[in-house]
Amino acid sequence: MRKEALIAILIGSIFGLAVTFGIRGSDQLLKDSQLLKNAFRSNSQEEEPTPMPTPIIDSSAEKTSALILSSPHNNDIIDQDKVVIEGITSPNALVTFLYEKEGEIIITSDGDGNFSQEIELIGGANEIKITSFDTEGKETNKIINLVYSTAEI
Amino acid sequence: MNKYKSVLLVLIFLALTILCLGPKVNFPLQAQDNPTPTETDEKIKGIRDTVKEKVKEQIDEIKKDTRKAFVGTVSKVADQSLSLDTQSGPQVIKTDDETEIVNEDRKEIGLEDIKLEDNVIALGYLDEDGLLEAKRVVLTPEPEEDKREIAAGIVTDISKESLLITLKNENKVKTYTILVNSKTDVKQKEDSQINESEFKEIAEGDFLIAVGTPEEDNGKIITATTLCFVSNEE
Repeated sequence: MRKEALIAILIGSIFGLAVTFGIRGSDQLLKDSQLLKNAFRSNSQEEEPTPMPTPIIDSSAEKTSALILSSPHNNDIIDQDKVVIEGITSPNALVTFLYEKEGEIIITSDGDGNFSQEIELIGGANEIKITSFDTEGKETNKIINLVYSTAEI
Repeated sequence: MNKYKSVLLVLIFLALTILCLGPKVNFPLQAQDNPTPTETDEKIKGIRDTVKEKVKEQIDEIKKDTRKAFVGTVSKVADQSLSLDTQSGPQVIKTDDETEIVNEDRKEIGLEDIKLEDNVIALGYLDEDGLLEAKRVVLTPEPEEDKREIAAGIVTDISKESLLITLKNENKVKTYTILVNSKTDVKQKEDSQINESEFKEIAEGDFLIAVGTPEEDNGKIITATTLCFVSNEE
């Protein structure tokens, strides 16, 4: 009886320990694989380009207008004294910018019609008039109102 | 007797198994009690912080899109709102007790101090109905009118002596007279680039843009501050 009991205790202990460490080991393995998966997921998210909102272009507007401003948007609050105005117009067009304090700049759009220009802002309200002339001399203009303010709201 | 022995052995076996499994139940507690964080905990904390940061950035970005400012003249003052005539049309500005209203000297005033025809800038966030919930309203002086004009067309006549250029815009069926002076900045578009140029380089048939202010006594003459031309030969 004593011999059999000792054998049973021994087998029971080995089995119990095996089960315990087996569960613990697999748990750790699962946790690690989850961490690895999350790490990969966050890395791949960083590498993916940020999805840009698709601009909604009114097809009827497109026929009559050849000047679309992509950024900034009208009535935006800018917290720096300079802003880059970006947009698209006819290829190789002349683009003029009239802004505060008698500021005026003339640039050309590239072969795809893209343009980009840095403009200085004054404190408070800023009205910027952008006019595009295509190679046939056709004129399109847009006015954008921006507010330069560093006040926290 | 053998039966008892077998039952006893099974009971001992089960008891030992349960005894060994017992600590497993307490593992999470042990991990919490452990004052020194493991490498895994550090990794989890790092990932959590990164996620928190990204979520905050996204929220700020979404909030930024609704951050707007309207500039206009006051057309109506109500208990908790202002109506503004802005360049893009009328706008209703919602205010509350937390809205900061300041005058031109940046001194705090009340909504009741705002009068019709006052010029204001209202800064805040757009609500789901597209109305601005103002966080700050600033009274501003009346903006100066920008009298500058842009005239564009084909050069039909040029006087090198009197520094006058006549432009004809066929799209607008309009003729402009441009006066050039020593301060006028002359540019030329060549090969998709804008380069500095001179008045003498401008010729009849060129396409020209003139930025300037119409003369007060004769609105038909524009004194140019900037000229940019494209040679007819290009």
